[in-house]
Amino acid sequence: MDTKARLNEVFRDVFDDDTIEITDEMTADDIDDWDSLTHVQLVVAVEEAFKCKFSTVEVMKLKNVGEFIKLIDRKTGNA
Amino acid sequence: MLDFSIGSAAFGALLLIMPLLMNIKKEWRQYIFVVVNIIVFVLTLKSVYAGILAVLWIVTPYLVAPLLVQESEHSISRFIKPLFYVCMLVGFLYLMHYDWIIIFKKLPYFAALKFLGLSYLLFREVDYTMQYEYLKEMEVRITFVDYLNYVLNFYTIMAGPIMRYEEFVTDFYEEKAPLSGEDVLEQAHRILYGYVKVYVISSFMSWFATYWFGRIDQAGNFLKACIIYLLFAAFNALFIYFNFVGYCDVVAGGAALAGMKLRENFNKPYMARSMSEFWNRHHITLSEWIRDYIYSPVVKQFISGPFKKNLFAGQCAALFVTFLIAGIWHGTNLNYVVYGILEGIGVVIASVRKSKLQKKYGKKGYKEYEKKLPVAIFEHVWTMLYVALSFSFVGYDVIGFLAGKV
Repeated sequence: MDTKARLNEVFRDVFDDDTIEITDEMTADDIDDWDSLTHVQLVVAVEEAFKCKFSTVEVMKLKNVGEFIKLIDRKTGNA
Repeated sequence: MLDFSIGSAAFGALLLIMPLLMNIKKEWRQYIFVVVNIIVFVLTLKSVYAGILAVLWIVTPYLVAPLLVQESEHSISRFIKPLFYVCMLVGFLYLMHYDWIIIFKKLPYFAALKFLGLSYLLFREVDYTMQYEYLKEMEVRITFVDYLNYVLNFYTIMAGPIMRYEEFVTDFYEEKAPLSGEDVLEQAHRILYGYVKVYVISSFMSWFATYWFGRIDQAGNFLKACIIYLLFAAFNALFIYFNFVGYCDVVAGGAALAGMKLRENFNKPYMARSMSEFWNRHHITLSEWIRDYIYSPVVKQFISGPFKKNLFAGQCAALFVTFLIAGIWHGTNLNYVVYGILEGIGVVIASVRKSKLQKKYGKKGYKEYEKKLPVAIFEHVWTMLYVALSFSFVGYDVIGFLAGKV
């Protein structure tokens, strides 16, 4: 399973919504419950799923899901 | 020692002179600005010792930032980083002289060591050092002059808005079209209106707040005392709002005339329907700073550690801790601890309520529920009352007053 598909599962799990289909351009504005609270929950879930750690600044600078995927790939050595 | 409040002659003179100085020659802008920032800062120092301390306080983060970059798991930065931030925090608490922290009570206190904008310098220095690795990676311009302009920016040194290093430098060097006559008039209007808010509207509010605070004693019975307290709290909250928003208008207008864009710090906070929303609209740059540098790391620790089984409880606990710290930062006496506790409780109540209502009505049903007029009115009134109550601990010694009654 590639990073995007695995990340989609994490999104569905965190936001409790099986209809979510992530895209590279997707941002917090596109998902109703994606606020600063769920954002951190999402980051922790991603860290667990992909067995990697992100710094505060790395997370802070993410502009969309596409950048998140690139960051995960870089951290897991898939880039 | 120079008075550098926005009502001072020095600040007023700089508001007028800076747009001209900054336009003498484009290549000199950063040097002109740094000279002005340093002169202002030095003239506001209370003593030579404060100057020495200020140099250490300002230069150290610039020198230490490259050492904090985490290159490897065994890097020395693993130890330097926490040590550096602990030193900064202890230094800050000592210089501010928190009178309820017993250890600082016992240590000698030298008022003459305080310097302009200590609280806000801390925010900028943390931002610079935390972001340093990223800034390097993104090849953001970093020079000592730019760093000094960022931390000592005289427009924002007193009370924000809290810019981020990248944001400040990007804006500073951005090619901008010269201001049109209309732009100048617009910014002049903003400055003037800002002064009216600070020196007319908020002064009235402050007078009424002080008047009612002094009348609580004479209420006669508990109910009357509560009503008078509410009046005091409402006027005090309005004073805080108009004073701060007016200050932001003055500095943002002044900076715009000198070719710099500051972040907006307010977005109709009294339109908020919950305490969480209030903090997304009030002192926005502080809210974002504490979200990034306090809430995010704290909640991450909580939900991946002690609250792993109950994420929502972890989020609530992190929110409470974050707002408690933010409250304590606002002032050095116990009133600000209570203020922080109340803010923490306020945002936790908002989160719990939202979560419970979403469970009860479902996500779609909750949106419909929120559209109902009585719900909107209830939420607005509750938020305004709660803000007024919690803000009543800011600027007045409510604890001292209550202690005198017991």
